Amino acid sequence: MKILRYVISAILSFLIIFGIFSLLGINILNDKILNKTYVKQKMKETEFNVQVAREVKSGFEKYIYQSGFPVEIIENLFTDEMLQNDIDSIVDFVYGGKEISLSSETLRNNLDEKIQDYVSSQNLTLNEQNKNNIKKFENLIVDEYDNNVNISTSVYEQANSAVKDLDKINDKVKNLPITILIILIAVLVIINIKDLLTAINFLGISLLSSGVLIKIGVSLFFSNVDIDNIVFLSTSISNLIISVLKEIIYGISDKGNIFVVCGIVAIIASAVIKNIRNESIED
Amino acid sequence: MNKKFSKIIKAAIISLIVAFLFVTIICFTLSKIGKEKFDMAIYLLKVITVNENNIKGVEPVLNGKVLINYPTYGSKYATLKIPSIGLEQPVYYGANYTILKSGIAHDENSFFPGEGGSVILAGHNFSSFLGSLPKAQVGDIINLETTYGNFNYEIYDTQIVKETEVDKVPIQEEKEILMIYTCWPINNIGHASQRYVVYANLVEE
Repeated sequence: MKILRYVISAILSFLIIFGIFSLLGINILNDKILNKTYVKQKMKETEFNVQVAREVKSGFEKYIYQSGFPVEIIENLFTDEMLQNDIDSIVDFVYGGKEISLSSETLRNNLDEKIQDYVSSQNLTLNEQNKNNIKKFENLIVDEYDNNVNISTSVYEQANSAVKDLDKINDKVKNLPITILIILIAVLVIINIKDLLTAINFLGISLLSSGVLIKIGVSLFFSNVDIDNIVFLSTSISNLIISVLKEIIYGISDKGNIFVVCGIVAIIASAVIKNIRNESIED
Repeated sequence: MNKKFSKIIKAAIISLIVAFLFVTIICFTLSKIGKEKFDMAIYLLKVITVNENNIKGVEPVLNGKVLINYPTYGSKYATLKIPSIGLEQPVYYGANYTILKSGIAHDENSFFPGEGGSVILAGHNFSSFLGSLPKAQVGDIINLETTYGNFNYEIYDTQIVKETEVDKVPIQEEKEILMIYTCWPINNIGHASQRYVVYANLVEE
């Protein structure tokens, strides 16, 4: 009977490991990946808008040097607020499917005004070819802004669709891991109700195994991936991904450390207490 | 006391063995079931990981017509000289807008001098860069001083092409020619949709 109880406890302990991992996964999904506020906070931390502004300005330089206009023409074409609103619009699209609206026309008007001022100040006479070239230049600058702010519509659409799918899954299974975990622990306690130290011991084994598995996973990840040099779409997006990924991995690693310590403490404590208790019974 | 201690150690070791067994079972199962997916995830992460430190500090060497150790992207590896018009500019490997701000860009899709194919260089049309290029005449000599050798080319043609006429700046493998282009017209207003191209044959290596 005692052996059967131990076997069932071991099986439950094994299942608890999966419960712990499911709970970790759901937490990462809810607190990080599907959390718009968290992503926006990370964007702020990584100075996402400053980097995008830099990328936009660098994009403008492609055309300014061959345009015959002075560099000042492309300066201050957009404000920080304009850019922030446009970035927010993209985040809203990824997380809520809300249509992306960019300040392209405001930017076009600003540029046009600056070009007209320059042409008047230099007393330039424009022929049809010049006017067409200026129109083309304006279109290229506006496109450059759009392309740097809204880097890849298809990637954002895929991200939006992934967020929708994850949201659906999350809604269905959000409370499942914690429920399963509570049930497993409850059953473990119930079958060991007369010997709670055994339950604590098996719980310690689950925690220790989970912690060791996490540490193995994290080590494997770091030995295979040079996280600081990840490059995806643009510097601003790469910095954001690196920052989020690092926080997730380091967060998991810290939890792994806690699980290992708690597991070892539970195993040793249960062994010590059991020994003391057995001695007092013998006495 | 010792007996008591050994009992505790024994119980703890049994628990550790069970934990080790669990970890082994899970690792083994994952390596059997999820290895392909894990490898794919790691591969994808590696694809988007760039480590520039791995490619720095190796000098290029020309062995016959094979260049060993390409210059680092964005590094200066040559000087372009056209003595007849007094042009002398640094040449950088790669063509992006940061490089174009510093000097002449070597199109990374073209060959290197000495490799026996088309070498394509581009630069802005300011007077300080390639603004004087249209003054160069057929028969003028262009010199490319690289970190691995000197190459002289003789201009055999000049053309004004549309920016969309990519076939006018072809990549060829059979014969080494140098093509240098800049935006045209030189003092344009608005977007420059034409390019001034100089074509030259390799005459001396």
